[in-house]
Amino acid sequence: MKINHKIIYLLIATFVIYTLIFSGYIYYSISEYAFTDFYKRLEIRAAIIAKIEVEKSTDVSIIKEMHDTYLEELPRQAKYVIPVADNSNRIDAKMQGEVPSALVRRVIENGSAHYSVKNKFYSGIFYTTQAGEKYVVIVSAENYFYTHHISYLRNLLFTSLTVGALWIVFFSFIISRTMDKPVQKIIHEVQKIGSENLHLRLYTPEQNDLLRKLTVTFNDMLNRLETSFNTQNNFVSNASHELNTPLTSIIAEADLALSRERQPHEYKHSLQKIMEEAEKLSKKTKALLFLAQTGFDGKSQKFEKVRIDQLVLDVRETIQKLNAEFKVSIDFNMLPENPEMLKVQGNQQLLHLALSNIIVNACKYSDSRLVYVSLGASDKEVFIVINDSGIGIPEKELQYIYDPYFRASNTTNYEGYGIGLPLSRNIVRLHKGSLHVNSILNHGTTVQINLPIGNYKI
Amino acid sequence: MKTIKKILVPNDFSVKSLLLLRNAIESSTHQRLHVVLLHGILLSDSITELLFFRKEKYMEELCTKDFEDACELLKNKFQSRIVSLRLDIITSRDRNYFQHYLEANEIDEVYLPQNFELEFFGKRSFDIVPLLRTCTITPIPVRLFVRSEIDLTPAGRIPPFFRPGF
Repeated sequence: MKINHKIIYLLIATFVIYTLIFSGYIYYSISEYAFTDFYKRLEIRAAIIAKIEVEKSTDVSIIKEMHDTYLEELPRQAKYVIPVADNSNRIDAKMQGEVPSALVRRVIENGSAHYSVKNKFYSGIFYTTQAGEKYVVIVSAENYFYTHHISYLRNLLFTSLTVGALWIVFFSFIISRTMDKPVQKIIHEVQKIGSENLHLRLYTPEQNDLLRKLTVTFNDMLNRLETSFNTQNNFVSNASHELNTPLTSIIAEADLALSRERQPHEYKHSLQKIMEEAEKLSKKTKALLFLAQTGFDGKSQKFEKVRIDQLVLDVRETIQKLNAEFKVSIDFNMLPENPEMLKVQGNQQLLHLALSNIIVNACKYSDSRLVYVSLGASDKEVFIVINDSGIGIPEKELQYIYDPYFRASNTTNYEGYGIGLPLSRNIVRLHKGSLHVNSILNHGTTVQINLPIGNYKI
Repeated sequence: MKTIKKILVPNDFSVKSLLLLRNAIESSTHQRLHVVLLHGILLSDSITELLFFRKEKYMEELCTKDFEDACELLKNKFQSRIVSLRLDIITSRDRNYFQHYLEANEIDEVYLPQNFELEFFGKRSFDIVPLLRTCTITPIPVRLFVRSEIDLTPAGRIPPFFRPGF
């Protein structure tokens, strides 16, 4: 807001200063002009009056006629014809009237002068008649223009300036508010996002501008964060679940063996069973730890060439290490002839995790019936399709399956924490791909993953 | 057999019907093929539509992204065998018209679905299979294998391709 305010203040100040200077200059010029103009008019009258009053001849009648007909009387016009005493330049004080002495002296010294006090203007000339008499002729009048018009102009300029300034202030606030609003909205939305709802995303505006770039960048960051966060969550929940079973068997077996005295061969038998379970445990832990890696090599997530067919084979191996009961059949019937079409630019570990989550779900919820995984490629995308004939997802709940921790209503008999699918979708999104789920209750579920081809040239 | 043969396969713009094409290609003895996927659609009665008739417009309306993806998938799978894959439309049920069409396009082989029906969801689409049955080129029937248990699983987008056994 501070930056915004500074800009507003600067704009307003510039506008006000400019307009002040502008109107000030206009006002001053017009004033000056009005002054000069008025003085000229007074001077003309002074000259004419001098001729009329002082020169006593018959020629002046014509001038008088002109004066009376064409020169209108100025408001409060007064004339002063003051004779000047010869050689001493003294004047009769009685004749002076209201005319200030300083003016008279200046007229005598310079030949003509003007003076103004408030709105009374004096203009005087020094006139020497043909007969040699010297007079100071002064005409005074009130400057109507000065009194009325220029004050009107001044008021007008002031009001316009004030109104303009107010308008600019108002307008700047509106504009800054408009620019503010989207940013405020983003701030508001971001404040809602925390570790418990990392799946929320900002709404991206339609126009392709800076704000859209900001929200898109932010959403991408959230994707990456959520993926890492969920990977850890996934590991924790998987670990606690998968590792429990073998541990329980080990404890039960040991407990049973120790409950009373037994023969050595019985002890051996028990120990062997414990050994088997422990090995299973070790394999599972390794698999889980492998899955828990987020593909982060300390500095950044590496994106490299990943061959999807190899990936699918690897995932099958991992899954069978996790649970030997899971059956996965891979269908490579529709593979493209060109193997380059199966190369995707991605992170091997993350994709492995995403795919294994989906396939484990498929196996888990179909009571270890056969799960089919198929691969194919169009010109731009690789398709991975996972088909199971398990319990399916109720149609009404299909829209919620990507919400973290959501479990469908028919999953009460199955263990799970509702983390696998959202995580997989995030990973797929990170790779600029898409994930679609279709399901018929009690018949099965189909998951299709589309990944963009890496366009690697041979 | 260095020549490229032209084959014709009926099409209803569904991914399922492309299975027909796949089986046709797999059963064809020729190595390299031009493929024509033919769909039948009757012209409308409106004069404006007739004036501005464009095949591409009808095909764009009926073609979905999933269908296009599935076509590309097939093209990539049979990259060395499919030289070109073309969608086309005929607008009349007339036998002579169809005969001329076959001759003009130099079709060598025609394939028929044997144990399933094409479904037409376009308003004026018609089934060209009867035409195929009675044309001069002997049609080659193509079977589709259906495994009932898998068939019940939900149809996704491309998944009909990926039902094992198809």
